[in-house]
Amino acid sequence: MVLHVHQLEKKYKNKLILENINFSIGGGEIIGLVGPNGAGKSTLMRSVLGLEEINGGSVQINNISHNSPEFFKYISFLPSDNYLYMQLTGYDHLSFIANVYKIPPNDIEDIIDLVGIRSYVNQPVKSYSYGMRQHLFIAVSILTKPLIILMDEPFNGLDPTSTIELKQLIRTLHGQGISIVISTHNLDILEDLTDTIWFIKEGKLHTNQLESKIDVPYEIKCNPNHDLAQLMQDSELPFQINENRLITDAAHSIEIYLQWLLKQDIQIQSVNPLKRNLEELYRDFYDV
Amino acid sequence: MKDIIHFLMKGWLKSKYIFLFPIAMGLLVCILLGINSTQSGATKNELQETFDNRKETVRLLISSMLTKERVIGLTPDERESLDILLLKEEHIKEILAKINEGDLKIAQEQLAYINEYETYTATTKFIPYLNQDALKLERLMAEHLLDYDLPYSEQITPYKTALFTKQLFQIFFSPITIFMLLLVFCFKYMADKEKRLFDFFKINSLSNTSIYYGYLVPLLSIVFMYILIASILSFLPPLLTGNINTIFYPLEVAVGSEMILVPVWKWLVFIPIGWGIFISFLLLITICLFKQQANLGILFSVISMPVFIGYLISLKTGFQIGNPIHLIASYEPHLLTSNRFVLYLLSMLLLLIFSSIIAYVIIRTKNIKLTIPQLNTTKKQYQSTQKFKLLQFEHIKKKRKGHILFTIILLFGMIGGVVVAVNEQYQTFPDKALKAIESYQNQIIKDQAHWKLVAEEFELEQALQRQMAEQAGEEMEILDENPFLLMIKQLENRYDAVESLKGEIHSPDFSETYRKVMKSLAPGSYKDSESTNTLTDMASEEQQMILEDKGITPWPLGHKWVSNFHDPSQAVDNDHFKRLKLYQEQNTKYDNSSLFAVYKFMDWNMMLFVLLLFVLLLWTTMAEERSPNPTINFLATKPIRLTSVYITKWLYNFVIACSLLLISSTIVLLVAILIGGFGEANYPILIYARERIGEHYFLSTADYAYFYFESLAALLVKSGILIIAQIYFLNSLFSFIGKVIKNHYAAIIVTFLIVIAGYTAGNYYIELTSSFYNPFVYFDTWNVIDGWKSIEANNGQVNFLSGTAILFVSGSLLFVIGLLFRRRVTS
Repeated sequence: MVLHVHQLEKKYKNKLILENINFSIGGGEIIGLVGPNGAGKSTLMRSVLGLEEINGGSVQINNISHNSPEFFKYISFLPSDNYLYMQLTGYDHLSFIANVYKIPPNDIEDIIDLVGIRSYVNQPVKSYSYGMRQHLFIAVSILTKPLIILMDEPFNGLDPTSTIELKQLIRTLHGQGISIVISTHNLDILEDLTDTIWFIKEGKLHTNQLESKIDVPYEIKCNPNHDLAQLMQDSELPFQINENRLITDAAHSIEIYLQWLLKQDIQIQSVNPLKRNLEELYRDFYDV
Repeated sequence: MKDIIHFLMKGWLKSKYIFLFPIAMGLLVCILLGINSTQSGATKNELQETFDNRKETVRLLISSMLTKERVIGLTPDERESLDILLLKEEHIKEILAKINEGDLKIAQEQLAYINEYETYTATTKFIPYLNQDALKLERLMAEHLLDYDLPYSEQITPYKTALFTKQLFQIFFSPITIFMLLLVFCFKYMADKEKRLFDFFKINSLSNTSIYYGYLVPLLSIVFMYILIASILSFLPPLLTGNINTIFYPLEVAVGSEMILVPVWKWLVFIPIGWGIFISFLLLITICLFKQQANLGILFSVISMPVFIGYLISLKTGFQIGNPIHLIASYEPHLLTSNRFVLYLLSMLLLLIFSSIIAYVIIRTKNIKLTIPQLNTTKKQYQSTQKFKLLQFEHIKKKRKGHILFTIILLFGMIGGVVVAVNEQYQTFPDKALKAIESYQNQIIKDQAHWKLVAEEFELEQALQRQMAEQAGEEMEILDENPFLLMIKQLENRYDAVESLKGEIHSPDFSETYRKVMKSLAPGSYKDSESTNTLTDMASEEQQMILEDKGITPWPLGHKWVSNFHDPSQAVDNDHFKRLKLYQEQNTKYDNSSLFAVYKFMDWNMMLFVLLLFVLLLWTTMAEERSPNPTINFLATKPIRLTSVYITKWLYNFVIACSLLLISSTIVLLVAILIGGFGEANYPILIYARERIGEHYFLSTADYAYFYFESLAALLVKSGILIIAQIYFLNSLFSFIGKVIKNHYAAIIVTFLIVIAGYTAGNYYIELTSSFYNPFVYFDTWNVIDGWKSIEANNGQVNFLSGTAILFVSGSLLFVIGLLFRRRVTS
């Protein structure tokens, strides 16, 4: 089951919000969707789901258009806004969804335990805190056992415990082969979860792969009493020296450098990969 | 608090919807101005009719005097009387000339006429042809008008005087506007709460007192602005036409059996202030309840209870200075006839201040919660069924909101209220009968005066003829008795007969005795009469025969079934109105049975209010999924078609309305059976018809209408079917509006406006052929069922069958249009 988005276009009052958006997902990946406020992240998700009228292109899952109710058998949405019924309980929502998707009642109980909402699931949503509502949203979106989940700002308003739990849950779902698209402003969390980042700029989608930690040079900070340049001459490894810092070559494993330095009885103070992190990528991409 | 007020006011004034209020108010003023200006003339006609009659009487007297003068000569006193009569005629001519020119500034001439009349009655032996009390009032009115140099003014359809301002005030500052404003404020509060505005205030270190008083003050400011705009708009017509001095125009107010003149300015002062204080009271209670987290159901229950109790107290015990209900109801005779209203308004203002202090304490209190406990605590899990999952979901949503419970409470209140009112009337009908007897006696006295005048004239005529005969030396046949004296005697007998009823008013057989006495005073069977017969006379007699055949005890009071042709609303002039009103009072029906209560429920058209209650509270539309909380996104991201949701909502509305109506009415009626019995299912009820369809139809040539009888049970079954059709249509209309409009509250208000406008237009333009197709015409349940609508429309097709068909067809059309109307989740 693959979600195909082809030449998607969305205008708002003659202004192009999304332009020629093309992508396919469904291989059990986690994708981070990043962009400044108003870039069109939520609009993209809502357009993909058919919640927004699109002005061009198509969205399909295995030839099922997003205009068909069948489409939602395979995809779930975790919204940023409050779409829940205030007067209903969490269980009311889950029970209704279970019925629509013909899910056995036992599965509701499992999800309640999995997401950790048992203590308040039978209370009206209006009495929930923001975090409790987010948990319910998560339960609602995973109860249907979707193949793809779109999460719009899922970490907003969550306390550190909930954030850690949600990250763990996302990893679990990913482990089950579910594709997840996460839109968030929290770059650290995103970096922790995925290497695949989509930037939205001027209505266009730019895919970007974060560099792997294996294929990057490292900076090894050593005790300043050693003559690093002299010692490394004998190793036959390519290197650069910056004061008491040794910069390795990306083509060679960090382990070889570390083994050589330890063999020379050099005290190592720290080891850091010299890759560009997501924040730097973001800065470069958006000229911040 | 100042910051909150500023913040809220700024936000509200920025809303484009707020400007709809003055626009709608201006539109209303223009429409009413247009209608009134094209339909004015009632006062002019009334004055013309009065003075034409007086002219005729005076001429009769003058001709009588002149004849006497010509034949036997006049004594100096009689000569003086004749001179006065001639003067009176001159005054009447002057008055009529002015009226014909459209100039109603006749107070001076009128006073001169009244003076001459009084001189005339003081100097000669005369039977007054004018009621002394009425004359006294007329003099006061004329003196008052003269003092302020005012003409007589249009009272029913005014358009450029302060009377128009008063009419507008009674619309703008009515209990309905209080309800509507309160509703708008409640919806606004709930929307603000949904947006967590109060949390926003709290996190900014603001106290509860600041927040809730800060919320109350803008509400009161809006009320004040509303009063200001309404007052300015209402005063514009008299101000622009230079008729502002009409604020001194005197109006009649009945206090017991006396009529008192009250200047218009008292209404213009009292109405907006009284209304403003009353709504302030309600807003204060509302804010206190909001603070205690009461939901809409509890809120309206708690607010309506003191209002209802206050009203009941005023009904039972009359005026009470401490009862705030007089701010909006029953204030005219008790407050405006004197300057007592100033004291009353001041005491109410003090009460408001005192209430504010109590409210302050309540708002400061932290631990009171007035919500029904189970509404906010753990709920029983509902097990969804596969077959009716969407219907069940709609039901659980309404149930969890508490709207079903609240609707049931209100339904019980409305249906039970009718049962209570019917029983109340039944209990107090001896008092009503006493009033009817006294009114009848007053009418007899008036008639006696008329016939005494005629008898006097007749005797004079006889004397003249006798004198002429003596002069001519002829013998004249002398009548033993003045024939008019017989008529006067008959009236005296009537007076005594009804007087004897007073002694038996609390006897168990009173209604039977009353019926017999009244019947004995009426002429014989209509079948023996050679003249044309009214529908009331014919129907009453035919109904009596059916009742006797079936052995059914007639409902008290009176032996007549007053048809709608003799309803006071059909009166052609004031005198006619008084007679019809009296006739109706003498024959109003009372009973305490269950079926009679249902009949009254239909007759008072309570169903219209029940339908509006359904729209307000019970029913749901697609708009409810969009605003204030866009839950449509929840549904749209599930494998459910939105058309299925639309159909489900429509179906749910229909099923729940029918079910609740059936359950509540059955329970209330079972209780009513315990109180007053089931009632007579076969009671024959009059049905009007424009065309003759069956052999059993009677024709009244006087009223040009057919009639027949149907059993009460059959009519109630028909009413039930028509009500189902009304629910079907209104539900489709509301569902359609809810599909087009994105805001649930706006959908409710638009539906209300359409229903009120459609119903008003349907009844106002009933004679148009197109009114047959107006579905709202058929919301007047009982008038459709008893065929009166076909008489009003002058169209036999406006009946139960076509009404049901039109409601179902138009309802289906609206439903289908709504179904086909496409709207994206976000567009």
